[in-house]
Amino acid sequence: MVSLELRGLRKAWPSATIDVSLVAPAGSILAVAGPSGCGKSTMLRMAAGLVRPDGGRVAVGGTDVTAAEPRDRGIGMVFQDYALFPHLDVGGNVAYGLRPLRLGRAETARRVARLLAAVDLDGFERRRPHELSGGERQRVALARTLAVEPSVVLFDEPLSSLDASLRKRLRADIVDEQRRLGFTAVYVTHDLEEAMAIGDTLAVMVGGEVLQCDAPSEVWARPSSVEVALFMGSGPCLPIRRLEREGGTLWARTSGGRFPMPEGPEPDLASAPVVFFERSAAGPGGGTTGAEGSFEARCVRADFAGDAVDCLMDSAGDRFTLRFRRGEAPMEGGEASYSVPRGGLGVVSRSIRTP
Amino acid sequence: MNLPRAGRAPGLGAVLFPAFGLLLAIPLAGAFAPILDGGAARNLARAFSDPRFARSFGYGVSQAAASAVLAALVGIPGAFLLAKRRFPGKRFLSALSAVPFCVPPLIIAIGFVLYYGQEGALNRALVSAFGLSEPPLRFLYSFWGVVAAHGFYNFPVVMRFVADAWAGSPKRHEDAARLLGASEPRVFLTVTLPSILPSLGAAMSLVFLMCFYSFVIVLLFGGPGVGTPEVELYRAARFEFDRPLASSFALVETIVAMSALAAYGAFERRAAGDRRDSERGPSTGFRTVRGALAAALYGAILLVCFVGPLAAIVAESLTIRTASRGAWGFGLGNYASLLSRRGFGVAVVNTAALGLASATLASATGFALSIGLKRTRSPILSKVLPLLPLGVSSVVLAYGWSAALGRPSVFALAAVQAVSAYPFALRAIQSSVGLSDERYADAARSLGSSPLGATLRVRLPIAAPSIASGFALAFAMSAGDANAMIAAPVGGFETLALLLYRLAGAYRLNEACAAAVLLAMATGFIFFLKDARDGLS
Repeated sequence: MVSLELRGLRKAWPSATIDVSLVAPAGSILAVAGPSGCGKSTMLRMAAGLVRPDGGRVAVGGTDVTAAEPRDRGIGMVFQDYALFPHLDVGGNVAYGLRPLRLGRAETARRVARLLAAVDLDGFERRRPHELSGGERQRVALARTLAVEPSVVLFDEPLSSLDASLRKRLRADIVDEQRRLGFTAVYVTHDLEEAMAIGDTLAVMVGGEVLQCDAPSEVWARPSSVEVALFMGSGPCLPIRRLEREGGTLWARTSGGRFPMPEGPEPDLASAPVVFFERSAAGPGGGTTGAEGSFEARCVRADFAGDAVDCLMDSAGDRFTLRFRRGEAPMEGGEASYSVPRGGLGVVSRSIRTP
Repeated sequence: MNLPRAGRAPGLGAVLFPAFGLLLAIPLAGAFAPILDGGAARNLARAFSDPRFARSFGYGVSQAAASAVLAALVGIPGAFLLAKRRFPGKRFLSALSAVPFCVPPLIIAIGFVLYYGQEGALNRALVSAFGLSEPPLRFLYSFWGVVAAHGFYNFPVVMRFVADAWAGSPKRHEDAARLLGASEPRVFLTVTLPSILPSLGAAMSLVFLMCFYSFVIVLLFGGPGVGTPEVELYRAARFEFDRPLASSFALVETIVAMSALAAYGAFERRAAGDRRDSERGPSTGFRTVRGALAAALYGAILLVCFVGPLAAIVAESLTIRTASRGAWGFGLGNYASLLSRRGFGVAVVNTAALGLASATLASATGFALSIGLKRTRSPILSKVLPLLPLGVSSVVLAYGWSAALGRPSVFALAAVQAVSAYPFALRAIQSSVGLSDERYADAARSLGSSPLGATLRVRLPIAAPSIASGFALAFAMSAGDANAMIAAPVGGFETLALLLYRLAGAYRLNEACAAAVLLAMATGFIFFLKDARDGLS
């Protein structure tokens, strides 16, 4: 088991720049999520050696492979739409990477059969890619990639063209396979839910940079910047209008509320800080201890979301969504006070300065 | 469920389908019917026992096959450059793909005579450069002359087809191969090559077809001894009045061509399957000096071998030869004498009228078919009908019309040209988004349009630029076509292309070249219409 390290990997175009530093820990899955066009796929292609970076380093298991040919890096890749060779059958696709090893016909066939069996496709050797279902293609692509026993496997949005239920199942297959074989995986997707479900670690990439890399639960609850919070959609970002000191506590005033600031240095208003809390952390009522954050808000719209209700709230002009348990959600149009426990509050700023 | 798509009013397509069928069915029946005179079996047996029959088919097939191979050899490097490299002159190379369609073969033939002939520009240049006593190039009036003219004339077809496939050959397939340990040569052989082979096959079958049906070039270079079946058909019908023999030629020729067409269709279907997951990668500059030099050498060969003959025509049209041998100068005198020629004005008017008639017929048919073909569920109709005219030569059609009507007619000429041009017009028209995407028409239908209303108010306006391109393409092909008129001449009806043929036949080469330049200017304007070029690929 080896890690994959990207150190200051850079690629610049006239209109965009990618500058990534990232570590995929050995034997685990690193999910990289970000909006479309943020540079995720290019980052993967640079790591695989398919795109030449302008600068930076790629290391596999501590060995610098920046200058190595793609085939010499020990990196495999599962492509968007799988890129199965249409003119070869399933067996031919899986055997493709084995050919240079000159194993002989019988040994190659034996290995292909074993690889196909491992992904539950026994006897599919003679099928053509176009005869397969989406899920079968994905498993052939995985078998083809794993045939050459790469120490790192990159997944470039492999499930993006499938429907939701199939995606969920195949995602589980990938995790099972990774746990069984123990390879290091980097899984790129624009689907946040998928990224959180599959990743042992989650990196959020916006505008060509990795803004946060941590356990998914951590990124969800404690985003490091406004951009990450907005991409995650895990809770409101209320702009801080002014700071007030009362007793020993520093309070932040937003348009419609008042929140105690966590310990630490006073936030700089010039950096346009916001108060952040998880969308399900707010409850009705003004609070009991007087040490909670509190705000007034009107429920503009309530959307049924199964076991919860998502409410679009308006707090003196700041609009955000809160999630309530069924039965606790406010009525549409209802105006009320809400409170947030002190421990659930955070302050974040923008990480990318807008000119 | 009653789908509105089924259409209650008979669509335009439903009217033109049978009409178009008749345009093809009548002349074919006319062409094949004389076989029955005195028994089909006897006539065919007589034809097959005629040594000319086997010889002409052997010649026709072998020259067409050799021409297709030459076109591939010349076209593949160009395809690579167009698909994968950035270089000055790329647009020019790309625009050459229109040449086989908008420069009439007659002009190419004259260019080859002027350039590769014993007294041609290239031989003169070689003689004076190396102090030779005899012209070194003597292949023109032979099998290889025909193959050279065909190969060079049609290489842009291969170049265009293969370049499109190459540019679209999915990059992630190649990347997947690289990551699976393949070396660059192996990536090319196992991934890139299989993805361009169907297009190469399609292009070569098309070139084979066009060369198999070549008429003028073989008539001029083939020599008196042998001819393609097309030429033999013409001789049998026109000079020997042996109509059963001519019909046997027409029948067997059509069968051979249909086999090539079937191959074309099969390759095209596979190529279209590959196009579904095509992914256009960016082209890059040259990576090595050797690569750049090789490309420059290729460009030089094209200039010398392909552009040379065309340039020779322009030069010759501007050359004034005087009575005293060897004396010459430059000027517009050839144009002046051509323009003041009696009948020139009429020929221009006739060319325009015939071109408009056949282009209207071809583009209307193309438009109606492009809609009609979407509705039909029959794979035979939707796959075969658009291609069928490629498998029937204009000489056979013209001969068939003459046989059916009892006499040559201008209407028949327009019908022949329209049928020959419409597969290309259809492709230009089909490239329009408005026609390929049914959602626009569906949106119109959901907003209350009738099926005909949706066609007239939505499909037609969206497709208008493409239809105009298809029209221009058909017009140019008609204006440049002399085959139908040579095969079934209508007394007193002369066009520019026919005038050019007669001038060349009378060895008035300077005037012929002036006429060729004027004609090429008239047909070459579609060079600049993008949709028309799309229709050619």
